[in-house]
Amino acid sequence: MSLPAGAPRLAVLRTAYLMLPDANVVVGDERGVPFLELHPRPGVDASAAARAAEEAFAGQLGRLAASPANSPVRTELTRRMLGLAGRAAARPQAAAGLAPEDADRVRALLAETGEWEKDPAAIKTAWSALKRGR
Amino acid sequence: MKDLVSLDDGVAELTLSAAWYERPALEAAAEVLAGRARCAIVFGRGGHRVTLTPVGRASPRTLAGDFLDEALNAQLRAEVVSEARPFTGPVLAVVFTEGFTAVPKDPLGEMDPAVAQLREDETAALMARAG
Repeated sequence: MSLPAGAPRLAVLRTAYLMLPDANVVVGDERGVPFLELHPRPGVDASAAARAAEEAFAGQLGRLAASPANSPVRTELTRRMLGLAGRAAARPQAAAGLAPEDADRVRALLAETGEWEKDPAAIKTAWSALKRGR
Repeated sequence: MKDLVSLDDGVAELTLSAAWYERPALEAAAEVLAGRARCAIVFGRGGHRVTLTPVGRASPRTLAGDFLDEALNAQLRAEVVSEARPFTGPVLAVVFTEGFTAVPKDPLGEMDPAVAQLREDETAALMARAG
């Protein structure tokens, strides 16, 4: 299946990719004109696969044509998402559902400004001693 | 147009355009066939020649198909990642600078200096191996 000379590279590759359920595909070019060589999988009609590839390529061209028009929207969405993510990261996360003194303790722990308790889990035997078999 | 895929004598031979298939994509495809085929690739400026010799009972047709599928998959993935880089770069920059909180110290290491020393040694050994 020959495609127009100068066809957008991603449209060609995506068309080939979309055809993978129906065929193994070789992408190539003959003197700068891209083509897809379809090797239909067992049970797939070759002419039907070729028609499907043409439709997929038309769809990809349409998608690429619409993409620049949507670019400002995508940029704005990304910008807002990053802003929200930054605010969420800066928000104290340990306070929810905890008594004020516990929240302060957890916050200090996360910020590494608090003091570790000597034996927070009440483990009396050090791990290295256990490892030595004592 | 000459045959790009031939399946003669129990061996699959593929001729792939260098303009459409880059080396990493073919290497990824060869990896997928590990254990099922011996894979020889001659990289050329205009085209690549791939020879797949079955190991065991794999059919050349199946091997060629699996190789083509993975090569296309890897090539498209690489190009999509490359095109999306103007977006992914700023997003990752924010994630790496703001998205992570500091890793708290290891309680066991805090309790027992021997554990801390052991883990430091393990980390140093891993870094040396990676380095």
